[in-house]
Amino acid sequence: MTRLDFEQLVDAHYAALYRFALSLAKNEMDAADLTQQTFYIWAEKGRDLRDPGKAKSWLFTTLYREFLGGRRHEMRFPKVSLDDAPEEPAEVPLAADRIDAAAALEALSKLEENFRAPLTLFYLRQFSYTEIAEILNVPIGTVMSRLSRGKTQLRQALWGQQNEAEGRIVELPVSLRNQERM
Amino acid sequence: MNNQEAKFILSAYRPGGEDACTTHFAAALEQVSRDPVLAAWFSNQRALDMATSDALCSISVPRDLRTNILAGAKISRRRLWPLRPVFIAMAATLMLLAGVAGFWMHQSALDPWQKDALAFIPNLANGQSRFDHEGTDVRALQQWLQAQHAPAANVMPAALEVLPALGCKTISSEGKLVSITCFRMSGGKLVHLIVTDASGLKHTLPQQPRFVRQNEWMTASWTQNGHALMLATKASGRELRDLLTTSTHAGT
Repeated sequence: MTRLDFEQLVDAHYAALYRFALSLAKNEMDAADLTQQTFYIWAEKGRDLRDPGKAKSWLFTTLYREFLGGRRHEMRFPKVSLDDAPEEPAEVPLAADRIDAAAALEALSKLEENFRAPLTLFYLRQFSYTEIAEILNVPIGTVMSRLSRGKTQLRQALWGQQNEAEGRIVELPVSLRNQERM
Repeated sequence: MNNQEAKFILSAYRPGGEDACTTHFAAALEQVSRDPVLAAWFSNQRALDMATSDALCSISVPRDLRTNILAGAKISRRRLWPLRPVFIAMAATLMLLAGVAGFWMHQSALDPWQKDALAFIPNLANGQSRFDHEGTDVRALQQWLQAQHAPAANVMPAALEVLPALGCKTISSEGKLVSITCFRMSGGKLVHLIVTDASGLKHTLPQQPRFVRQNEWMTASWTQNGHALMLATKASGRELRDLLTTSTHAGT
């Protein structure tokens, strides 16, 4: 792979990879590290990939594995940083058409990682659910289940944000209550 | 399929319609088209999903991330540079071995004139057959062969010209005259120059020596000036190759 090819690969995928990493790692610094690390691994190993059409999937899979590897390390050696102190809640959307990046990230960050990863890949719209299953190395049925349940949790989180921001109690919509029972 | 099942499946349907052609969603989408309640739910879901998707895709990326990735990759490549000569050397060695293997293991069948000559040479070596003409000067031997209208090399490897010859012999192979000139190498081993007319041969020989191992024989064959020549020895391939590395000179 030439330097030009590598640059094209970076240009095509680094933004989506970063957003996926940000959803997983929950902070910008670790997300940037994960994204860079993924491309460095590509520079050393990925060029051996026989099917260039699978480069995107390879990058997302590698990033996810790097995240999981790093998380296992963190669990053994917890990192303490003043930068990790909780921040003031960002602006909260009131309706679907007012959901912004901060609200989406905030809501996603409240989900467990096994829901957060497939949901983020789903919302990035780069992969089908079958491809998401491959990247996360879980059965297709599990991905569908996590997407369904994860969306319910995400809606709850968004509504929770709305309630907190407006300082009033809003009953959970019927549609969401129904989904919770599914 | 009931509505609950359809909802479960449609949860994986991307809001931008990227999965519209995926057969797995066909039945659920068909259900949506039939059931207004499900259709309303699906419409609401897609609106929420699209809003969330747009929000996520609008997350700004650090301004210096791209630059850092490319700069870091350059450093990674530099770190790999010290290893590259090793890989290059390994690759070159493998290619050389492959080349040498192909060089010597080229098992294309020798022509009858070559096989007959190789089969006859031991008779000269063990004295069962006598040389037609004996002498140590190869030029004199080639002149004698020409005088007998036998195939003679008017151009030969320079290294042969300084080796002491033993003598020459003419045999017939399938009606073709084949001459054999024997030499003694410095280590005492023998090397033989076999010459015949290049016309009408079963296999066309190249102008550069083609190396073939034939049982215990190492052979190199080529064509020159209308003659087919073969150098054969039971010495090593390297010794045979050394005889051919010296440029050829025109003889008499």
